[in-house]
Order: sequence, then C-alpha cells, then structure tokens
Amino acid sequence: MTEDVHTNGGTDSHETGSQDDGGHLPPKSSVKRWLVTTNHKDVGILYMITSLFFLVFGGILAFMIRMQLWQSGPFILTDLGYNQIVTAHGLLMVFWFLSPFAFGLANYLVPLQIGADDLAFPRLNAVSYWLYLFSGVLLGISFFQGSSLPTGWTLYAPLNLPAFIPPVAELGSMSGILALALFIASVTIGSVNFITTMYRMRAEGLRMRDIPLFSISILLTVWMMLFAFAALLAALMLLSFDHVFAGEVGTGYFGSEEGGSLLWTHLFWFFGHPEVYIVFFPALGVMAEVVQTFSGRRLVGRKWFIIAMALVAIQSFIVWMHHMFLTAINLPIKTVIMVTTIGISLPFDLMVFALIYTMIKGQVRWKTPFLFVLGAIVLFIIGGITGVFLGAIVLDYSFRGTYWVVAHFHYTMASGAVALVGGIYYWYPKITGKMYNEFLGKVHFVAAFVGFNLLYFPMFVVWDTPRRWFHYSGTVAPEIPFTNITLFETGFTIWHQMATVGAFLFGFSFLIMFYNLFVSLYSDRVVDESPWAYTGSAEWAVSSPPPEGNFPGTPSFATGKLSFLDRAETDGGTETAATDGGVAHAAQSHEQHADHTSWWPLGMSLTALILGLGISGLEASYFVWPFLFAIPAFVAFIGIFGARSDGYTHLHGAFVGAAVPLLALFALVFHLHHGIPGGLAEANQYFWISLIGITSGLGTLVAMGYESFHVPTPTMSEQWPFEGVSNTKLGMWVFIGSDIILFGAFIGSYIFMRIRANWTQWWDIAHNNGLTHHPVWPGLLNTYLLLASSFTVVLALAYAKRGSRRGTVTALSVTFVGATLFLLNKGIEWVDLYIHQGWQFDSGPAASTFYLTTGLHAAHVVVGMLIMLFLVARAYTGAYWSDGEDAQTIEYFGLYWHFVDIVWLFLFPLFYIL
Amino acid sequence: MLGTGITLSSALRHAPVAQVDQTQVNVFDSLYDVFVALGTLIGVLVITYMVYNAYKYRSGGADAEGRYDIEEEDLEGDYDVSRPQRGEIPTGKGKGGGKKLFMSFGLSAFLVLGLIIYSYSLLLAVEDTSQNQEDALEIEVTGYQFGWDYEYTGSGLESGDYDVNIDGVEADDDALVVPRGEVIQLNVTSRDVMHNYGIPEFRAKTDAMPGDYTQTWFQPEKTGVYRANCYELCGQGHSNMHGDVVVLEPDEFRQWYLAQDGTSESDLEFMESDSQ
Ligand code: HEM
Ligand SMILES: [Cu+2]
Repeated sequence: MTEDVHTNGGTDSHETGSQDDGGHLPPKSSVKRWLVTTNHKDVGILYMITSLFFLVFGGILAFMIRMQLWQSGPFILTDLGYNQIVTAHGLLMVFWFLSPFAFGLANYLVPLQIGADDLAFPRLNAVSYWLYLFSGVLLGISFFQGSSLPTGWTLYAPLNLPAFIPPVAELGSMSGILALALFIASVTIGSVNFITTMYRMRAEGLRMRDIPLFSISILLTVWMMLFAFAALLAALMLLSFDHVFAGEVGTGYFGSEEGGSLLWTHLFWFFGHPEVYIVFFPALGVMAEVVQTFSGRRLVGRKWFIIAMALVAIQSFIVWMHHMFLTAINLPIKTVIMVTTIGISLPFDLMVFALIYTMIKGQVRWKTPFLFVLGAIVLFIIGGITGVFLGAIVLDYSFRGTYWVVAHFHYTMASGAVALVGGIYYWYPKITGKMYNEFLGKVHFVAAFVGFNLLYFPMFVVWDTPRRWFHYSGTVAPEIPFTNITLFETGFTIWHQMATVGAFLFGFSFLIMFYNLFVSLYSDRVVDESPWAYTGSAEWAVSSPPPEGNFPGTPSFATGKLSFLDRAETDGGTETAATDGGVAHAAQSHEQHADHTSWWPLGMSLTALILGLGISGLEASYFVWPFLFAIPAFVAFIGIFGARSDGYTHLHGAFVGAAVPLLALFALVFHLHHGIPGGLAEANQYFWISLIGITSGLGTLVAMGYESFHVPTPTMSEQWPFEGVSNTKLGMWVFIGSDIILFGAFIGSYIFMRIRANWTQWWDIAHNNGLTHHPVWPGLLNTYLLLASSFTVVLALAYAKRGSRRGTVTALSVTFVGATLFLLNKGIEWVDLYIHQGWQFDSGPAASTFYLTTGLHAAHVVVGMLIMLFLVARAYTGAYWSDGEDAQTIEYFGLYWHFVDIVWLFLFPLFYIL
Repeated sequence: MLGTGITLSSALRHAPVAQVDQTQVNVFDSLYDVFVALGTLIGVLVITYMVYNAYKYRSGGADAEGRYDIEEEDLEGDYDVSRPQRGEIPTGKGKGGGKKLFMSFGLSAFLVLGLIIYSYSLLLAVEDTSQNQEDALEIEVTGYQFGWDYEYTGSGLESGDYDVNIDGVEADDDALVVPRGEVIQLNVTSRDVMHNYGIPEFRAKTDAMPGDYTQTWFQPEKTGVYRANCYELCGQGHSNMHGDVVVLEPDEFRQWYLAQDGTSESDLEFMESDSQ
C-alpha cells in the first residue's frame, strides 16, 4: 500500500502490470471489488452495464407493444397489461437506460478529461450508483405486486390517483412512484458530485471553457438535472401524499377541484421538458468529440457551440407549456411558449451546422463511432424538424396525442441513444484496452439504422393513430404539398406492421453489439494510449485502460499543454506557485491514505430499497410509526458506533440509555392509538418491512458517518470560480439549490391552488371544511425558536474554532433543544387542528397544502436534529474543536440549518398570516 | 446555402395566407403543407450536404501498420484548419468556419422567424373563431371513462335523452349530431380523469380536464358519420374510447333536432343568420 500505485502502460516508465491500487481495492476479477468500489472508473462501468440491462428490459417491453400493434384490437395483451407495458417501457428507457448510460460514460471520463483523480465525493458516487440500481429493481418488483403503474410515463392526474387506479395496481403504482423518488435521490447526489468536481478539481491551467466538450455537455446536464428533478420530486411527494392520505376524488392535490389535473401537468412538464434535453445533452457532447476525432479537425465554432448549449439548457426551463397547448392555458401564454419553443431549435441548428462544417476539410474516417454519430445527426435533424411542426400551435392541436408525437420523440431520443452507442465504440478501446471488431461494428450500424427508420418513419405516415391505442383504423392518403395529387392510399395496418418488423431488426442489431463487445474483450487487438488519430482530450494521454490513479503524475496544463508533474515535487509545493499554499504539505501523506472501498453505499441503498418496498403498502394509520420507532434505534446506533470508533465515553452510554425511554414513550403513544398487542398484530407486512428498512437505513447512515474514508483534496487544481470554497461547502450549496426548487414547487403548488380556489376566501373555505380556529401564535413562536437556534449554531462554530469543547457541545445541544421545542409546539398545534378540530389531511385544499408544506419543513428539521445528535457525539470525543480537526463540518451543517430557517420565514406568512 | 434560403423564403411568400373564414381543416392543411414542403426540403438538403461532405473529405489512407486508424499527418499545409492534438487545450487559435456558421445560423433564424409569424397568424384565425363565434351551435362535451356525453347548450338536450334513428345513418345513440356547414362550438370537460376530445376528420381537438372547460370548434363541410377519439391515456378502456359524430344536411338536422323532447325553433336561430 505504500508503493507508488500508478501503474501505467505507456506514458510512464514506472513498473507495469495489473497491480492493485493502494486503496485496498480487490482485483477486478473479484466480485467483492464491484460491491465495495468507489473508484469512478469502476462505478462508470457498473453504470454502463446496468443501463444496458435496463435497455434489454425496456426493449422486451417494446417488442410486446409492437407485437400487440401487429393488428388492431386485442392480441397478446390485456387492456391493463398494455397500459402497464407502455408506462414501464417509457419510464425504463428515459430514466433507467438513457440517462444512466450517458452517466456511465460520464463517470468514467469526466475525471480523466478534466485531470482529476476521482470525483469529489467517491463514496457518494457509489451511493448514486446503488440507489440507481435498486430504484430500477423496485420498479421491477412493482410488476409482481399485482400490476405496475398503468398511467403512461407522464402519470397524468387524476388517473394517477387511487380513485382511478384499479385496486390490483395500487401497490405496484406506489412502488413505481417510490422507485422514481429513489432514482431522483441518486440523480441529485450525482449532480452535486459532478458539479463540485468540475468546478473544483480541474487540472492546473484548465479553465472552465477549456474543458473537453463531452465534459461540458455533462456539466450542463447535471445543472439541469439538479433543478428539474427537484421539481419532479416535489410532484411525486405530493402524489404520494394523495395516495396515502387523500385518495378520494376532490381531495388532496391532484384530485382537487382546484385544477389538480392542470397542476400536475405544470409540475410534470416543468421537469419533463428539461428532462428531454437532459437525456440528449451527453449525446451532443459525444457527437462533438467523435466528429472532431474522426474528421481530424477541431470543432468549428467551439465557443458558439458551447454558448448554444448553455442557452438551450437555460431556455429548456421556459418551454414546458408546449406540452400543454390544449389544456386551459390562455392565448398570450401559448404565444410566448410557441416563440420560445420554435426559438429553441435555433441553437440546436447552430450545433448541427458546427458539426457538419467540422467535417469539411477534414480527414474523415468512416469508422464505427463516426457512422453512429453521423446516423445520430441524421435522426436528430429529422426529429428536430418534426419538433418544429409541433411547436407551431395550430399543428400541435392536431398532432397532440397522436403517433406524430411518438415518432418525433423517438427520433430525437434515439438520436441520443445512437450517438451514445457511437460513444461506447469510441471509448471501448480506452476502457478495455482492446479494439472492438470493426466489421461487426459496421454491420451493427447498418442494421440499427435501417431498423430504426423502418420502425419510426411509418409512424409519421400513419400519424393519425391515437397514441397509446391498440385499436387503430382508418386510411392514409398523403398528398404532395400544395396539390391534390395523392401519392397512395392504404390502411393503417401495413404501416404498423412495417414498424413492427423494424422494431425487431433494430432490437436484434444490439445483439451484434453485445457479441462484439464481449468477444473483443478476449481478442488480441491490444491498443496503446490512443488507438485513434487526432484525439485531443486528456483521457487519450494515459494508457488503455487508464491506471488506477488515472494519471502517471499530477496533470497540469500550465504550460498550455498537458504534462504530468512528479507527484512528490508538486505535493511539496515547489513546482508551481499556483498551489493553494497551506494545505499542500499534507498532500503527500493524504495521497497514500486515499480510501477506495466501502460497503456502506451498497448497504445503505439496499435499505432504501427495503424502505421503498415497505412504504408502497404502508397504511395511512400506520404511516408514521416505523419512522418514529427508528429514532430511538438511531440514537442507540450513535452510541454504539461512536463508542466503537471514538472510544467509549459517558455520552455514548447516555445515548444508548436514552434510546430505551424514548422507545417506551413512542410505544406508549402507539398503544394509546392502536393498542400494542392488537395494533401490531393488525399491522400488515409492509409495516414490518418499512420498520426494518428505516431502522437499518439509519444504522447504515450512522455507520457511514463514522467510517473513516479519506479523500485527498487536490492541492494543485484550477478552481475558478470557487477557489475560496471547499468541496464539501460547494456541495452543500449545490444541494441547497435543489432543495430550494423542491420547496419552490411546494409553495408554487400552494399558490396555484389558492389562486384557483379564490385567494381571499381561502380561509373561509377552510372553515367550511372543518377548521374552527387557526391561531397565529404557534407559528410566531416557532419563528422565534428557529431564529434562536440559528444563532446557537453560529455560536457552536465560533466555539469550535476557538477550541472549546464545552462551548461546542453546549451550543449544539441548545440548538437541538430549540429544534425539539419547535417540533413540540408544532405537534401540539397539529393535534389541536387535526384531532380536536377535525381538520384533516384531506379536508380541502387549505388543509392539504398546510399540512404537507409545513410537514416537509418539519421533516427537514427532524433530519437536522438527527445530524445534530451525531455532531454532538462527535464533538464530545474531540471532533471539530481540537487540533487538526475540521471545524468546517459545523459550518456546513449551519448552512443547512440556516436554510431550513429561511424557508420557515417564507412559510410562516404564507400559511399563518396571509 | 444562401441559394437555399432564397428559395425557401420565396416559397414562404407564395404560401396561402391566413383567412378568418377558414375551417380548422383548411388551416391545418395549408400550414401542414408549408411545413412538410419546407421541412422535407431543409431536411433533405442538410442531410445530403452533411453526408456529401463527410464523403468528399473522407480519408483515403489505410490504417497504419499494426494500428486501427490512419497515421496522423501534419496537414496544416493542405488546409487552413487546426487539428486536435493530444493533451491540448482546445480553445484558442481556432481557425475557419465561424463566419459560415453565422451565415447558416442567420438563415435559419430568418426561416424560423418567418414560420413563427406565419403560423401565428393562422393561430389567431383559429382562436378568433373559437372565441368570438356568435352564430354557432354550442355543445358541451363531457368525457367519462370511456365515452362522451353531449349537451346542446341551447335546449339542454342531452345524450341519453335522444336517439339517433335517422334514415341512411348508422350511428350509436350516444353520437353527436350536427348540421353541415355550421360552426360547432365545443366546451369540453371531464367527469372523472383527463381525456382529450378529438375529431380527426375535422381537426378539432382539446383536452377534457376535470374541473376545467376548454374550447374548440369545427365546421363540417361534408355529411356522414365520423369518429370522436380520446387522445389522452385515460385508463383501461382508453384504446377503445371513441364515439360517433353524425353530420347531417341542415334540413335533416333541423328535422331530427326538433323531433326531440324539449327543443324549439328558437334554439336553431344560429342557422338562419348565415344560411347560404
Ligand atoms: C428541436 C427542437 C424541438 C422542438 C421544437 C420540440 C417540440 C416538441 C413539442 C411541441 C412537443 C409536444 C408535443 C405534444 O405532446 O403535443 C414535443 C414532445 C416531445 N419531445 Fe420534442 N422538440 C424538440 C426537440 C426534442 C428533443 C431534442 C428531444 C429529446 C431528446 C425531444 C423529446 C420530446 C419528447 C420525449 C416529447 C414527448 C413527451 C410526451 O408527451 O410523452 N424533443 N416536442
Ligand atoms: Cu418539450
């Protein structure tokens, strides 16, 4: 473990060989390695393989759809079966295949391209992966709970509510919703990770604008992800609330008379439109890289290409209503959206032309990756042009809900997929060290391209087929524009049959790829650093596959060209003046202690799966109990794990001791509510699954918190514009950014419903719905409590910096007490409103929005309190305040706590005063 | 490229211009024609241009000995372009192409702007008719799982209260019956989940949302029995959710309508004012 770990094939004179890394990673042949690894290249490979698995899963469903459509009317599927399959196919392909496929490449390549050793938070990266895998597993499980979601991937309301979901599908629908929520957790963690990495860990001399195009596309993608998925998370939380507590028509959010149906379309498409670019952007990056390499020419107008991408990324958040032209939105809004929508095709247009012009005067080699990218551009041009049709509102009026839309988005989405496949061929030699079989690659391309067009072009011809119908009929007789000359006249069936044939050809072409990529692994076509001519970015300057630590020395662009500086020298800070001085000396020792393995990402994600499965069937009256019962366990875990890791102290004993009365207290309340023997006997199995999931989940979190996992921060890297902010702090900021959108969506929904209901008579309506009395003072008191607790967090940090153990522990404890009082006060208020006044979760829009929005805030408070318990235990044994310990952790927590505080300052007037 | 633009923009100029008395079918057809013509033209041109250039500038060289790609040559002399170099910083000293890029961008912007303006004028025509129609037959459409209910706003005549026994017409009793040549104004809502009401033959379509009303209209110019489909996934019967739309000659319609309970001549005033 002390030897130099950077084994490397060519560029370095160090010893070669498949030597293991110093961070105790087991060899690649061992299964264990793949379960514990946090290395970005390993995680990237896991992502790619898993996403291909989901491609096959979604592809089989697609075959079933196309079989069903071989003829009109009932064939191989039932009505419910068809709806389920259409839904799962869409969800799987968009969420579980396309994006993660791109992120497999991104995981592998982004650190290499920007000159970083790994992502900023390798362990969280592994968490992202495992959450992704298990979220997909949960969606798979939903099929075995009776029926999966039957609502279409857009989950339109109120069809997505228990009132309209057939009873057999209720469990599976909830699982589907929770699977999406888990997926979002994965995506959000991943976005935070990538953003932090790319802003803070670039090689010296590499400015943001110098990042290779694939990495740039990923950067823009993760920014969109961060915000868009937060909105979807909000929508799903509201939907889950409706499912558990307000399933009746006319109650909750999406069943409500206050435009629940319209509210869903807004929330969904605010996410959904950026999402379609999220899945496409990485493909743009791949296109740019591949066209550059195989044309032997730098991308023409690189700067404008990047600006165009950034423009699209921003603009993607203001076009969502083009999916809603036929809903009740008004003409002026439609007009604006039409302009932004058609306008968004312009930057895309610029990108396509940049790619085309790059080929001119090039040295174009028609290798497999280039073929795929060329094909992808063709598909994208067709998809883009047909998208402009849809943006012209009058045409959309007719196209909406037909196969025109289906064909349009398959052309664009498949363009993305095809480009990414090109990317796989392009980087395959880099990742494996072997060259794929070129002939088979070309065969794959031809089969895929022909198959795809045979599959989707007929859909434009018979576009009048209603979407998600399998009873189709009619004739089609296209005319030459501006004339009355009919080209031909046929029924719909033949075209759908063509599509089905195309589907099988397209699908089977991928078998060629799987075969090719697998067999080539064992071939003797060994490659060196760069098998391709005219490669530019840094990943091509290291061996294939790259060494465990990525680079033979510290990468630097300071001279205007990539060079690898001797690690020992640079770490000493002698090589350049650009290192950020102080910490540099510690780097050498850190370097050797970098950790690369952990079981906890897998463990934690597994508990998340269990919890998700549990919640899917948790009844409303049992809903809070698993979570409450897990809290004493959490307290005990801190005592136990803390004692193990930091050495036993009285505080640890106190934690374990406190767990018992706490549990007794909760048990007592449970007893009053359900009766202990009877209540537990009546609880269904999902109660127990949830209990196991949440308890073990909190356990793994504590374990992860106590695990010593060292990640060296690069000492010599380009960090503009965040030089003064540490990685963790930047990560926290970014996370809070997504949390703002989450709350924003909740508050937006509240405002939407209140305006629809009648802003000024909101409380009168609430009184009609059972509210007798809604005093302001509990909210006011809570405002003071929270403000005070924000102040004590600041004190805790000050004490920690001063090195005072007593001060730190006391200030943190006082903060904790403040939060407890906040919750107590809130609890008393809720008991009064809910039980005494009978103003329940489903008592109209005012009740739903009040309970859920302030409830989300309270959940944030609870999370903060759990973290504080951990901080107190750590501080007691010397963390944060003693020498060599990092007081910043308290600062990061403080950021979160202040944020929770500020949110309350918005909620208080909205829900108590106005 | 420039030549293309000129051709395209003049094509635009000769295209039909919006007229207020157009039906949705006319509007759709003329706009669709323009888009299909332009879209096909542009698509074919751009794709051909790309593939042509990728072919024209293909590398003649074979793979280098023992490698999988050509030998990198220094071609700076041949063309005035910059080649990627391993480990480079890709920005700076970029040569060529920028001007051309902006030209094609300007051209596209011009086209797109033209399209926006043109389709907007047609949109206004469609929306105007939808909102300012006085001489129209007003009908309230309510979607439900899995069918459509109609109510003739003037008389309150509802599906279920009438039947469609008309000579020579084969249609279900829950059909919508309308006169040829008149503007039919639809107010659409839903009783349960979200649906989407569309009559493809007449290019009328709008969402049916619970708790909301949306509007659309059509003006049937031929008699016969047509279909009203559901275009939004609405549950297990979605795939089979359609109803009949019967278009009768005005006289026939009048006869049928007045034969129903509770209807009167005064409901049909809209037919007098503009009968040709
Ligand atoms: C180039 C400019 C584009 C324009 C003007 C455009 C326009 C539109 C419009 C107006 C719709 C709504 C159709 C309807 O439901 O009535 C739509 C649907 C859709 N578009 Fe695009 N689009 C463009 C590019 C893209 C790209 C790049 C992607 C993804 C890679 C994409 C993916 C989709 C998807 C998935 C849907 C359907 C969503 C659904 O209803 O399930 N589009 N597009
Ligand atoms: Cu969109």
